[in-house]
Amino acid sequence: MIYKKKFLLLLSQMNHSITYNTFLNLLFALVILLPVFSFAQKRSSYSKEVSDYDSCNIKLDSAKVIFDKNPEKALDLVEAAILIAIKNSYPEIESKAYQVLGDFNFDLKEYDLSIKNYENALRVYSTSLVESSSFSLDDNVRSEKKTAKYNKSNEKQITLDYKNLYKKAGLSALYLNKPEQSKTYFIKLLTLSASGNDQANYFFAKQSLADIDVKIGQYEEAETYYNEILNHYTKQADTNSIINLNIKLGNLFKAQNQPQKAISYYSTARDLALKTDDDESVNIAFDNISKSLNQQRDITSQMKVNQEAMRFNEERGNVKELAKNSIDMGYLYLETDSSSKAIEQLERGVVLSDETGDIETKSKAVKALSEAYEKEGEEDIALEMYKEYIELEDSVNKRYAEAVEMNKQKGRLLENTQNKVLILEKDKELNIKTIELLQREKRLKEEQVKRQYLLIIFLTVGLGLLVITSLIVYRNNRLRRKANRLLMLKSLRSQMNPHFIFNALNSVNNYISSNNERAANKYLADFSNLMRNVLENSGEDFIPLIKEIEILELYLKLEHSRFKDKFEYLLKIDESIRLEKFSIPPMLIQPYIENAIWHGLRYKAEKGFLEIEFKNTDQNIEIVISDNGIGRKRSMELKTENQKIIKSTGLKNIANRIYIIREIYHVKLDVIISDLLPETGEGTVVKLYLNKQTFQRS
Amino acid sequence: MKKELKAIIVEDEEASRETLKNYLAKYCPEVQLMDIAASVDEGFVAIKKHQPQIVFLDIEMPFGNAFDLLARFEDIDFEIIFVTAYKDYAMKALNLSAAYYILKPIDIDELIFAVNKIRKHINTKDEFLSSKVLLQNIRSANQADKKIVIPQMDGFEVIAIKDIIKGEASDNYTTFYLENGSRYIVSKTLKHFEELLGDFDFLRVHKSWLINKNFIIKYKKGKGGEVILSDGTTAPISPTYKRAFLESFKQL
Repeated sequence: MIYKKKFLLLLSQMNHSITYNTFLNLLFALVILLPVFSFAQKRSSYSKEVSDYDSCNIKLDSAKVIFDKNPEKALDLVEAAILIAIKNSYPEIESKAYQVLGDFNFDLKEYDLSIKNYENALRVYSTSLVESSSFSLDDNVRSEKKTAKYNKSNEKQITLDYKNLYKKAGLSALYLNKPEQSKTYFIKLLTLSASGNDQANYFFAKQSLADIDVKIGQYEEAETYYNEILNHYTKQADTNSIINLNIKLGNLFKAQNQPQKAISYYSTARDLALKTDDDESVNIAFDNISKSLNQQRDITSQMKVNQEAMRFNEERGNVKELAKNSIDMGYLYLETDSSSKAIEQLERGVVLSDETGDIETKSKAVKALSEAYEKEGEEDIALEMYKEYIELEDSVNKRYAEAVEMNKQKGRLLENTQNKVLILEKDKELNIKTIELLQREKRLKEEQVKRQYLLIIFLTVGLGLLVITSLIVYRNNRLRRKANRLLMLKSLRSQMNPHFIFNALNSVNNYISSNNERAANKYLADFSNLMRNVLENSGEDFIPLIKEIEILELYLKLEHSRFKDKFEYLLKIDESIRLEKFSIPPMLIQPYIENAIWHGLRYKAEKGFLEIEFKNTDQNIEIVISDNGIGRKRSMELKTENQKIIKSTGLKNIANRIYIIREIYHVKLDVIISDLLPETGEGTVVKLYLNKQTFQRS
Repeated sequence: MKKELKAIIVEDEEASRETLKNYLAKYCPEVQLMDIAASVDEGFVAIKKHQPQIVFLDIEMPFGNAFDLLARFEDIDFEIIFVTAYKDYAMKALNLSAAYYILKPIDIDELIFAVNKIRKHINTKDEFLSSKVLLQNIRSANQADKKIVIPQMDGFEVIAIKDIIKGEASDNYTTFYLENGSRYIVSKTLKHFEELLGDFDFLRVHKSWLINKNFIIKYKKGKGGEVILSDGTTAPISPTYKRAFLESFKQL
């Protein structure tokens, strides 16, 4: 700041003060405020991000919960979350939102769409991970925050999300009958689970891959997989999974048309299921054993198995299953042409399915009954039954259609959201481009600011140099001027008027001509004494006051001896002046005395009077030279044209000298010249005021 | 010796009057001092009254100087020996008319020499000539009408300055070439005349040449160049003087 002040001071000395002052102040303000502004901007965006981020998470979580009951509201929430996520670039939120959408579609069995959403989720995830770990598009603060999030709590969550996404996408593809696509997902799940030592997902993936192999007819691979998995579960003693795998192995052999092998697996499954009271699996096993026996056209065994199942279900009170068993039994009797037995079983099935309200099963039973009555020859009842079957079939279809319609409605809502998301996606792409543009602009601006900084620095340095140079030049000029003045002063000072010298010598000549040896000698001695004093002191800028008075006394004496008839003189010195304490420039007073004699007293008809007085006042030594000669005005008038050609240089010289002395030595010295008698203009008074302080001897 | 020369002193300072009076009495017996005047007024009256052959005249005096005194006369029929303590502005006028002057403090030899010179002119064609030319020059307001007195072997020659075409230096002599074809040799240096004639359109163009600008009819360029004058002669311009020469023409 001090530097700045000095700088401004220097500038103002150059007389550019106003414009440069304001300009500089502006520059300084700019320099100080720029970083503050940019910092403030960063802070505000930072705090906003946190709250938005959390609200998104909450929105998505609640959407999951309410989807079944209020799909519309749920989708609104997802939409809102995605909007914020895209706007603020929260890839994790965006990914999560896609996952939620995928799940919705999965639930609605819209597997096409669910795969798409899962793909999107995966894409956003992977790009965001790459972004945050390798480089940052945006400013440092934000990316630091992002990576911190990933590194700590979210790493586990991320793998979990990944696995879930692969699993769901794989299942979706499988249900869509796209085994190859499904396979790729499950392989990814498999590798990811293997590295994470996640056995559940690992074996799930393996099992799914085996299922796919079965589907595409690669039975051998499937068998190896299944056995491997079975091995694992056996070790784990996970009975449920063992049952499941036995069923799957049964399915595998059933698909290979090896009913015998299939039946053995199914039986193992059934027996295990019976032990663990897993009724569903027991029924599945029974059903499959029955179907495998059917493959072998072994209806007797089939009937036996069916009866076993019936007995089991009766015991367990599984009415629904029991109804199915009865109907199956009915069908088997139909096949063996024992219609009456078939009718009995089928009637039972109808009753049982009525109990459970299972229209589908009832419809099946009614259809078989119609067939059985026809075989019995009771065509009326058969027709009656067929009509009922048609009605039942209608209601089944209607119910089915209703379900489809409901799903479709949900699907439409989803589609709507999906479209909106698509638009948002496009917006995002645009946004990214805009952001890139903005960033580029920002960088350009930063560069510009940098350039401006540089410019300011250059300007400041340049100005500084300019000021310094001007100061040096100014100083040199001043020194040169001072030197010149000193030279001038030397040339002006202590010049005894040459007229005086010649006139003095002339006086000596006079004494010689009149043979007055003593007088000539005396005069010559005085003159020599004066000249010696003058010459001795001519080199000095200041001489002791006492010396100057000595010179004046000699001068007055010599001049008086020439003009004895013209004037008398008196030199008065105040005794309180301590003469030794002061020094003055040599020959400062003499010219005024010479003037008084030559231009004042010499013209006077009668004898005049010259008085030189040194007075002591508080501030000054006052030197008063007064004469009662003819006065300045009259003296000028008396000069003829021919005489005016000569210009008196004595007074002009002394005025110049006083001016220069004041400039160089900073002394206070004033001269006032006035008439002695103002009314007549006669006589002249010269007053010299020498400030005591400034004229003290150093 | 016979007191044949009547003289008057005009001098304001008593000491100087005394000195001159004493020395004249002692060393110039042929001079008969008629009167001593202390001012121009007194001097005019004394001269009218005594009709002296010589007037010792101080140049600077209170109440009017030497020229003021001379200007009062219609015609001058006396020789003047100027007495002055200062070699200043008056010298040019005195030198132009070849007037005599002695400097204070008075050198006795100079005083004797001056008186002797004047005595020789008495009753010759050059009688009072110098004084007359001086008066004329004082009176003529026009520079072109002024005249110069040049001493010759047989006395003085008065020449109108405007008639001089050029002056040529040869050692300590100067040769003047006039418009009418005549030439005069003077035993003074060219520098002496350069100073005297500087105010009358004369220009030094060469170490040996002083020319009257009014007679130049042509300037030939060259290293220094040369000028052709109206009499058909040429004078070279040396490089040293070239600039001053050209400058003086710019002012025209």
